[in-house]
Amino acid sequence: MNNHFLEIKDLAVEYTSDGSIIHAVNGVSINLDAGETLGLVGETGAGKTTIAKSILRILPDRSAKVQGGEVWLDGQELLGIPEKEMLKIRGNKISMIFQDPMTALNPVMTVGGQITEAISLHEDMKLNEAKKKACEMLEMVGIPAERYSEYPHQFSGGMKQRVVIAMALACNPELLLADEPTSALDVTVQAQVMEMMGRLKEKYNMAMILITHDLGVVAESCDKVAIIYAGKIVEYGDKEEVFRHPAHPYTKGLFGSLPSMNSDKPRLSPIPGLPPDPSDLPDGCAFGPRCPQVCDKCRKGSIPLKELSKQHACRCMLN
Amino acid sequence: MWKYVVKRILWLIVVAVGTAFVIFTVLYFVPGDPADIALPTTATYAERQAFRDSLGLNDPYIVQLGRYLYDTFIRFDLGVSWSYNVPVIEELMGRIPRTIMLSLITIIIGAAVGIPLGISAALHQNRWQDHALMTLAMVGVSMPEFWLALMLILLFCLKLNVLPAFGIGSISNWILPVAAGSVAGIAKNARQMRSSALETIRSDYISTARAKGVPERSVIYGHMLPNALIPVINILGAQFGKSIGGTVVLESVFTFPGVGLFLLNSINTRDYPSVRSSVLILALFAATVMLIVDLVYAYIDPRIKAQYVVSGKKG
Repeated sequence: MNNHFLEIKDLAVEYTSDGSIIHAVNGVSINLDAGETLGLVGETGAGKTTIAKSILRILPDRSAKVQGGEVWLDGQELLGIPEKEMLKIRGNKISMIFQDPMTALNPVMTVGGQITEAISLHEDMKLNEAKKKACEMLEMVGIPAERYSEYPHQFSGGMKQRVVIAMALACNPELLLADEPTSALDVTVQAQVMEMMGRLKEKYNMAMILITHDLGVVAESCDKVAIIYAGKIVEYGDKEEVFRHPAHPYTKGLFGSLPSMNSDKPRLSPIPGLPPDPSDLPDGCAFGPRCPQVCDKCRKGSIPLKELSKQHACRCMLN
Repeated sequence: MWKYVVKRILWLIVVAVGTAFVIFTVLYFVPGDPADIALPTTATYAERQAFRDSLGLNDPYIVQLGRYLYDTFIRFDLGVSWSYNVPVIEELMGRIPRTIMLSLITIIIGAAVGIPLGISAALHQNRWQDHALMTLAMVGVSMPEFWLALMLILLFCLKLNVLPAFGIGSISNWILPVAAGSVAGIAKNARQMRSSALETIRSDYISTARAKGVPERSVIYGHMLPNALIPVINILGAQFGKSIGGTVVLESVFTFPGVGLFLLNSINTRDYPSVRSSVLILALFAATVMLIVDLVYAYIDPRIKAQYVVSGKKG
C-alpha cells in the first residue's frame, strides 16, 4: 500500500504555551517519490518547519506534541519507532538544512569536525577516513579542504550554508529537508546555493522537501508544490498545474503579491489582513476572514481537500 | 596570542603601581596615629615625635610616597612590620599559600559541585528537581558568608563538638572555612549554569546536532556544554577575584592565619607596611587570576581567541 517513498498521513502537531494550545499542523498529508522535490510554501508560522521537524522527530520535547498521523519512509513508519532506531535515520537517511546558517553551526567546533561527526555517527569508518570524507564533502561544496580546521566565525554566510549542506549530504541521505536554505543569504549567493543543491540532488537522486516562501525558488527547483495555510494544505499538486491554474484564493493572492515583469500593473496586490491566531483558529476555512470571495458556506465545518484533476487538489468551497 | 599575553603581563605592572599608589594615599589620610597604638598611653609628646621620626612619618606626603614606591618597585623591599618587627615578606610568605589554598579550594568546590547541579536543574527544567535545586540556590546566594560561618561554628563546634572552630594544622581545621566559603559559589554557579544551559539548548546548532543523529547525551555534553560553560567561566574568574578579598571575612571568623587575617590585624594596629604589602599581594593575585581566566576563555571560545590575535596585530 505504501508505494510512495515518503508518505505523510494526517499529521497533526500541537504546541502548548502558557496553557493555550497552538494548533501548528492540522492534518497534513504529503506523498513524495524518490528523487522528487516538493515545495512547501506558506507564510511564517504556517507550520512548515514544524512538519519538517516532525518527520525527523526533533520537535522540542516539552512544548510540542505530535497529536496524530503517520510518517512512512521507504516502508517504515517513523513516528512509532524507538528513539534508538530514529538516531540511525537522522542525518543518515534523512537530513535537514536549517534556515539560518549563521547560527546553525556550533561556534566552538571546527567546521570539519562537525562534518566528521556526522560521518562517524553513521558510517563504519576510522576517524582518519571520516576526516578524509569530510574534506571531500567540503571540496564538493566548493570550500578548500585546507579550511577543515577553521571555525564557523571565519566563514561568510554563504560559506556557512555550504558547510551545512556538506554536513547534511555527508551520509548520502535519501531525503533532504531544506528549511528555507537561502532565506538568510544574499540574492546572488542564493542562486549559487540553489544551483549547487540542485546539482547534488541530481547526483545522489535524493528526494527533497524544500520549505520556502519564495515562489520563484519553487518555480526553479520543485516538481510538486504544497501551499500551507494555518497548518493545513490548501492547495497541492504538480508545480506546472498549480502555477498555471492556481485554484485557491490564497494561492492566487500569493501570486498577486509577486511583481511581474510582463504586466504593467503599477502596484502589487498583497493579501489583506494577517494569518489567524493558531491557538484560536476560526470555524470553517481558516483563510475565510482574509478571502475576497468568502461566502456563508466557508464559515462552517471543515472544508475538504477536493481533487481538481489527477495532479491537483484544492481546499476551497468555490471549486 | 603571545603578544596579547605579554601585553597583559605588562598591564599587571601598571595595576601593581596603581594599587600601591592608592593604598598608600588612603593610609596617609586615614585618621589614627601609629605612635598612639604602638606606644604606651604614658608616652610623652617628645617620645611620640621620636617614634614618628624614626618611621619617617613626619616627612611630607610626596617624600613618603616616593620612598615607598622606590623601596617596593625598585629595591623589591616590602619593609619591616611595625607590630611584629619582622620583614613583611617573611610574614606573608607563610600566609600567602594558605590564603591561596583556601580560595582555590572553595572555587574548585564551587565549580565542581555547582556546575553539575546547574546542568541537572536545566535538564529537569520545571520539574521538582529543578524547583528544589533553585530554591536551595536562592537560599545559598542570599546567605552572608560570615553568618553561615558563625552558624557552622555554632552547630559543629559548640553543639556537636566534632570540628575545631579556629586554628590551622590538621585537615579538620579546613573543613568549616571551606564549607562556609563554598556555599555561595556553588549556588551562584548552579544558577548561572542553569540559565546558560537553557539558553544554549535552544540554539539552532543544537537542532543541527540532533538532526544529524547525535545521541542526546552527546548533544548535551559535546555540543551544549562547551558553549554553555563560556559565561560560567567568566563569573568563575570574578568569583576567584572576590574570594581573595572574601577570605578577610572567613579568616577572621575562623582565626585562620592567612593574608586576610594579617591584613585585618595590621589595619587595627596601623601597621602600614603590612597593610600596603597585603593589599598589593591580594591585588596582584586577583589580576593574575583574571589573566588566567581570560586565557582559558580564549582557549574554549575560538571567537575570543580571534579577537586577541587581531588586537595583538594592531598593538
